[in-house]
Amino acid sequence: MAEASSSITEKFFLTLKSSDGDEFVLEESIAIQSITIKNMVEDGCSSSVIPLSKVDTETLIKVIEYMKMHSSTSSNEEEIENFDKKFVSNSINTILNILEAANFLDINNLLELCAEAVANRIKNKTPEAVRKIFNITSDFTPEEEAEIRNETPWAFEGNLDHSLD
Amino acid sequence: MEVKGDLLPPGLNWEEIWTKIVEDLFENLRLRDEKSAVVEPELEYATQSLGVYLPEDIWVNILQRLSTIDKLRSAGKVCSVWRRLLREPVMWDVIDLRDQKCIPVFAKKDNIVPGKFCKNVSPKNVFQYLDDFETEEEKNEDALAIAAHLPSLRQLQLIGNTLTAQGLEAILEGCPNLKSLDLRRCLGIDLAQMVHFRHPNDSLIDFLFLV
Repeated sequence: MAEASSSITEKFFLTLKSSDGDEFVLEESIAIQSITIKNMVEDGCSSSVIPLSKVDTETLIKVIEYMKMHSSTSSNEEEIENFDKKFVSNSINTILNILEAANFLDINNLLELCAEAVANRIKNKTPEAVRKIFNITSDFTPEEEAEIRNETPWAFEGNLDHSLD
Repeated sequence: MEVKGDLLPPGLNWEEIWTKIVEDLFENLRLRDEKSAVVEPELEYATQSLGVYLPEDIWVNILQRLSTIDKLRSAGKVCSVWRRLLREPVMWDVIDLRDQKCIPVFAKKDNIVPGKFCKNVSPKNVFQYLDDFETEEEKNEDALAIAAHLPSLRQLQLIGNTLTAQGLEAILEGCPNLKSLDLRRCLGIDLAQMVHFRHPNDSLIDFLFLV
């Protein structure tokens, strides 16, 4: 009983350190949405600063924003929904960085949200537009190029989206 | 992404594939030097394929979310990494061609989608909706293509397809693992007289002449 009441009144804080060396203090209850951090806490490795060598400051700020909004204590459903909508309108590079961080930190909801957002950027686009959006260089061999030209003739190839939106 | 041996087509191992990749690379470099005047200017063989680095399992997660059409028509033609990931059987558990205005020319034997695209494909479901714009001769093209290229198919829904008895026979023969077959509005198959159908494996308990 004493334990239960102390966990309600007493807040634990963790310090997360980005790859740029910036430190962020965050309530433990919010931070453990990351399974990676949760495991560290449970293993007792969280007494000092938790270094996140794969997450830069800009990305970490976004991830913390997300975790704060999605922690059970605050915000109602509609608020969360609006937040998510706005969240995925970040630039594609930001989203990809967050995606990588979410993968490393093991925050499943965030991973889902961003993966879906990235997939939405690919939908209905031509290969050329997709390459531009993701800054991908076509690296096919001439043989592959020929194979690609020869495969899947589509009845209506014309309705693909060439824009970069 | 973790490399699993069982994803490979039989008779191949990663060592061989890796050797082949390296050989191809050198061959390409040679070809590029040799034909640099002929090669189209927009073709470049970059070693760094992805503009943004991401672990492959994340790309798998993303690419899996695309529709069948987007996988085939667009994502598979972006770069070699995506193309390779899209050939993993996990990408083809469901092939859903509903609500598509564009329809792959689903036959011509060697141009099959995605049997050709993903050679070791084992889709559990194929959903297909076809508008009725095939000519008479093409009635069974889809059915024959499915029968020829998707042997491990478990569930098939062909709504309003033009197949006839010949196509149905090919599917039953070519897809022995089929557990569910939905042929609603496939009016080329004349089963109008058939009101009662007993499955070949049904019990013979009510058959009078059973010895």
